[in-house]
Amino acid sequence: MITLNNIFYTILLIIFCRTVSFTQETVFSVLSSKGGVQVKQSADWQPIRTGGKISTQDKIKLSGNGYLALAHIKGKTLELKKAGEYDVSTLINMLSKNDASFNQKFVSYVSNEITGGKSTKKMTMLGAVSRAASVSVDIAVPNSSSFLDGKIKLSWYKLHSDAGFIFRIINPNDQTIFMEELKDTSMVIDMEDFKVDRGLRYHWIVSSATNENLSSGKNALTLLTKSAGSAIADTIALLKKENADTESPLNNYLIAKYYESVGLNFDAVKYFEKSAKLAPDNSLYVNEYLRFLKDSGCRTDADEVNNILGKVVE
Amino acid sequence: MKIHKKIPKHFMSLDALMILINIFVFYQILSLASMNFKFLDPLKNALSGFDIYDMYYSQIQPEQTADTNIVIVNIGNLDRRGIAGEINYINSFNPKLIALDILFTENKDAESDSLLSDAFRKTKNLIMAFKLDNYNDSKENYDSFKTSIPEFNRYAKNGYANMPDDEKGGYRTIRRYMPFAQIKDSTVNSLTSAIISIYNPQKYSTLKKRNFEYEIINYKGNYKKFYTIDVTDLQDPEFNPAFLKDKIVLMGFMGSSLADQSLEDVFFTPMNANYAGRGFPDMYGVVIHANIISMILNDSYIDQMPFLVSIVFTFLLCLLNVIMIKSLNAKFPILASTLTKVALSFQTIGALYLGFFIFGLLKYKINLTLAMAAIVLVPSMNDFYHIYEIRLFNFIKRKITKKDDNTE
Repeated sequence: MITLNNIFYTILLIIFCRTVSFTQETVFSVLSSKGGVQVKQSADWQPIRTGGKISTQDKIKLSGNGYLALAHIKGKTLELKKAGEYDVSTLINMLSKNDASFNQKFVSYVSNEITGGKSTKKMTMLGAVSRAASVSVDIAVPNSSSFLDGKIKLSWYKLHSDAGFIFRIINPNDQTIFMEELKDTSMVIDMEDFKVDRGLRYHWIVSSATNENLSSGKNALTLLTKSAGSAIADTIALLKKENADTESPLNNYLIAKYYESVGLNFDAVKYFEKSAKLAPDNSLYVNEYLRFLKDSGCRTDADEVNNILGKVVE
Repeated sequence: MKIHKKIPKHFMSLDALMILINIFVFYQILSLASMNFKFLDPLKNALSGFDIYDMYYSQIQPEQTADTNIVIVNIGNLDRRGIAGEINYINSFNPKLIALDILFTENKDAESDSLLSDAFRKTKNLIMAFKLDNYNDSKENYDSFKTSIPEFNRYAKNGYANMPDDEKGGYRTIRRYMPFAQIKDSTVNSLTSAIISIYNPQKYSTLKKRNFEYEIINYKGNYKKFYTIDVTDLQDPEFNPAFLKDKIVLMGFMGSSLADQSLEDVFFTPMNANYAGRGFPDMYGVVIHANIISMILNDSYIDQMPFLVSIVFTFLLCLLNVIMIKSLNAKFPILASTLTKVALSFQTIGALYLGFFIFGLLKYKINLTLAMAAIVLVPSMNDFYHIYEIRLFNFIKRKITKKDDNTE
């Protein structure tokens, strides 16, 4: 029988069902949010923060600097870093794409290790140098040298910004054995402190503290073995005895050449510099000094060389 | 039922045993040698410092689920007043506990110290880090420790935040941690153990029953696997931290903001995309603690094959390879060398697959480094045995026989 009560309750039931059917389910929770990240849950775009919920009908917008980490209700996570708009179905698709199986990942890993990576026709590496302000950290010492004892002073040039530096020493297996953040443009180290293996090549790298892509690249250090070191030290002592005049450009040049021949480049540069300073008009010593600076990757400004030599260098 | 009584000759042969002994002697020499033979160094360094399972975490591990029990809060460069403000705000949302991966070792100024002390007082369950000091090598315990100043510490339960000094495993590389330590005769909790003892006493009991000096950390991921609140988030009026209710809140330093890289309290972990200490440290200390807590709450501990069992496993693997090489030499003398190399390559990949599969499925770590090093050495040791050792044995045998003949 149709009564007013029945109609009323029927209407209530319909409203309830429609409400339930339009209730949005939470699909994602926001784990972490940075930069320009917004969600559209009704008509307007609103910022979204950690702890926020993303429902089935919501849309997400990431600006250029935005980052969003999401957790699906089933626990899987998703990171958004690329600017753009995303709806929930897109996010769920992205989640399933992330879900490579163990076998897929293992095969991919092994094949990459064996083949050295996927080959591609895409050419992103420029086969030429490009010069711009501060593309790298320039070092002020030779980029490769052996040493008789462990105490070494390493130096480099400031960047255009005031950013500090991160200094690292890495072992022959490319593992970091020392790291420090600093504002100075030099670092004094004692290789013995790091228990390095004599005779093996280690590397040091200095990079910008705010942009790890601005880096000096790897520069080599080798602490000579005691036997090799003592033989060289004996020869140097003999050379210095035979070329006792320390103010002779030739003597300094000869000592520099010997140091260079045995890879003691930090010592070589001092003697090349001295020989050129003592005879700035002698093209042999000057050119050899400049040639050594260039060969050893030691960036020295032309102005600085002028100051050292006291003349204009072309 | 007729039992086949003939045991395969290869299985019981003395030369198979000798080759196996050669492998283990060589391995021991390699591990202990302090000489700088350049060609051996990569292998020596690889065996002494490298953990092959780092590759699992950085390359193979399936995507892990988030753990929403834990909220990490970056304190950035906030002063004590700022930290007090954050704690008061967080407390208003009723977290289960607040843990600080921070040491306040000195008084600063009366006002900010008072504000912070008051915030600590109002915290329902407060856990603060302390530092173990002065390790005694002979007693294998610590002589002392350092907590935050008494005005703060009196409101807190403590847990030490020291990370293992495992330089052999790589510069600032954290693969494991100590859940408990000894200060003189007392056992103390690590920060994560102290947290678990309050959050879930049952899980704490499970951890204690395991009774391992070190637990390998089963890494879930970086801070992106947990709720993470940056320095400025809590100051944002749009931010709704209602999700903090009943959560574990970990407060620590993660750079001046999450966008900035810092070298303070940051470590290398197996999650590092550039594994084995290459590149930059990848995880802040507070996030490492979050990973440990998640591992304990989910009972996803990693167990390791005991060393003796590893030896037996490697021994059996070597034996199979020795038998294989002998068979190949006998049946395919011309192709034996090539076939051996192919078989060993497949074995190496197979061992890696099996090891990673078992690790992923059962959280059980087989000593793959030892097994793979032994597989690699089998052909060389086989040659060494057949070329040199047999001659030596025959020479000694002849000498003994000659001596016996002369005696008669």
